[in-house]
Amino acid sequence: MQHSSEEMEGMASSHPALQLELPNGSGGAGHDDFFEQMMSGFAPTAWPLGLGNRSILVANKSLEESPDGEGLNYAAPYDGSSLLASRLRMHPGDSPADSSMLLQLGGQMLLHPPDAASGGEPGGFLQLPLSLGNGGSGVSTSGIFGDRSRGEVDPPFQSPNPTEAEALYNDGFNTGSLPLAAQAPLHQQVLQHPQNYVAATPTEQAPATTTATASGTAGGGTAPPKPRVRARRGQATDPHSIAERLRRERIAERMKALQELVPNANKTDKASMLDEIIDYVKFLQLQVKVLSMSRLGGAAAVAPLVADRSSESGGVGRSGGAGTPGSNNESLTAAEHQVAKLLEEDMGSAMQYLQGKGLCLMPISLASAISSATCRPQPPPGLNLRHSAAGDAPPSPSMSVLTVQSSNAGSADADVGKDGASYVP
Amino acid sequence: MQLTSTFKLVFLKQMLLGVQLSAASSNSMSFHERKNAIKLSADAAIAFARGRTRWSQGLITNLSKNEKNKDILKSLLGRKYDNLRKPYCKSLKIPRSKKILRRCLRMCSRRKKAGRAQHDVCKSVLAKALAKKRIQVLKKLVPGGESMDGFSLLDETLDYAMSLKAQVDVMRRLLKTSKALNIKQMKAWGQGGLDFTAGGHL
Repeated sequence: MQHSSEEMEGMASSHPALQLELPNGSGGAGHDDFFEQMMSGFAPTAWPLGLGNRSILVANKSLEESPDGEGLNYAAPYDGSSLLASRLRMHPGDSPADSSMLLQLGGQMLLHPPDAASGGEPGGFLQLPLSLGNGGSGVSTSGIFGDRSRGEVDPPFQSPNPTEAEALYNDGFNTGSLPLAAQAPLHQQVLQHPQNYVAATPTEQAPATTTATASGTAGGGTAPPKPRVRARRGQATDPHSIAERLRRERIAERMKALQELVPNANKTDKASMLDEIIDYVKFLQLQVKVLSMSRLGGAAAVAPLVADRSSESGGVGRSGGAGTPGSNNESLTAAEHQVAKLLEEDMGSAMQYLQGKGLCLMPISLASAISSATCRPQPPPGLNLRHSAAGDAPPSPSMSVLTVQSSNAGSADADVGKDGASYVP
Repeated sequence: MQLTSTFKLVFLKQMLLGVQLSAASSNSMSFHERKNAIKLSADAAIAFARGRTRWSQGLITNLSKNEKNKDILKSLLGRKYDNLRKPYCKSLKIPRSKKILRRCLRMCSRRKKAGRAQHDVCKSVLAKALAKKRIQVLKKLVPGGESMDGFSLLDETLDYAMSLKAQVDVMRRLLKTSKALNIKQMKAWGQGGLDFTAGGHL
């Protein structure tokens, strides 16, 4: 949740704005204090479900952000088209329960079940200023989730300000998705965003931080108060906050893209996301290594290789020929233990260890199939180490290649496993 | 976007050329040599197919560190070799920023010790440290990653991961294809070079 903590400052600025916007309830100043207090004492886990965060945080994040403080990163909406593109790619992963959550949160700060005019959706609306580039769409929590089915377009773009959304989303956004609650002022806000962002002037565009106080529908008049508070904060740390937001936004953008690519990427935390990425890159590199091992000389069918293994001395079977056969004399058990130990720690090193010995891991069933194919029955070792079909010939790379090949073929369609060879734990 | 079939075809073609060039199909090579040769041609091919990115340049640079590979790379990549070989020398920037960062962290921790008022600041500092550690690991993984800053590192990682994925995909298909062929055909293929076309399988 480092993001959330990082974002706290950014959020805080935006929150007051949000509060102010809410027609309901928060009385301006009182809420501000409350809000800021909350922000200072913010603990990421304190947020009920991140989802609330998301919506609240607003603008900073596109809704597709997983519930988490992460969303806060999208501080600077003026990244425009690139953001839009990345957002478009993303799919919202949130649960539709947000609106209720938001309501809970909103009870205190942000959202107020309003009046939200737009289509009667509950919850406050945070416009996504983000949009800045994209023509921010207000985000109504309920709206967002409701529209999720709409497809790619970020649901968040449903907003009480359909008009602005439509206007802004000419570049391919799903303009139709915005429920309308046309808000002229919001429209202006959005449009003026980029210009005013740097200025951080307390204008209606205050959402420089992208917290669009969505309540556009009901709260046409709520805009003014929001900027006032925000401006104060913004001015204090203006260049830093802006740069900070921009930076965070860029990082979040990229993390999003990486999230799409890497499987198992439902982590919301930046650190764990980085972990996943690292693991994935390592895994891919290992796969390439294993595949290049197995591709020796163009590979060959399993059976012929096995059959030819005995006559390998001339390198007849595979075009690759036999490599330097390892010695088979070592006791199996020691190697097995070693491999078992390595396997637990790190798959990669286990593979490398085996590779150094000219061995490979393969499933027991395959091993037995191979051994039966060669008509040289051999009891499979406990760990599935197949060092030779005959059991009396030195383990050769051909065998290991063979096993790697077969296992590769078998798991050809398997997704991210640990590596190319399958193994029986 | 990147995993287009064109990209994969280019990669495949380059890789097979590389394998041929490095004579990986000969019987005289040892297990490791062959594996290295194949990996070399695969990596060179992926860098070639991707064009000019930071990681591809870093990759070629790393591969070229081994003198033996240089010739193969040169002949394989042709004129693109020099293109790709140009290193991005920004390594000077990094040590300085590390010092600054360390100073910052020290100050922050000092501040933290002094008064525990800023919880979120501490958190952010801790979080940053965590992220920093992981970013360092990532820098080691991605070729040429040491001289990149945070943003471009993430960009390059994304690019690199996609290319790796395509590489693995193509190699797997190649493997499957060759497995499906008859052993005799395999022999002929191995000796005759690139007789078969794998395009259909992609």
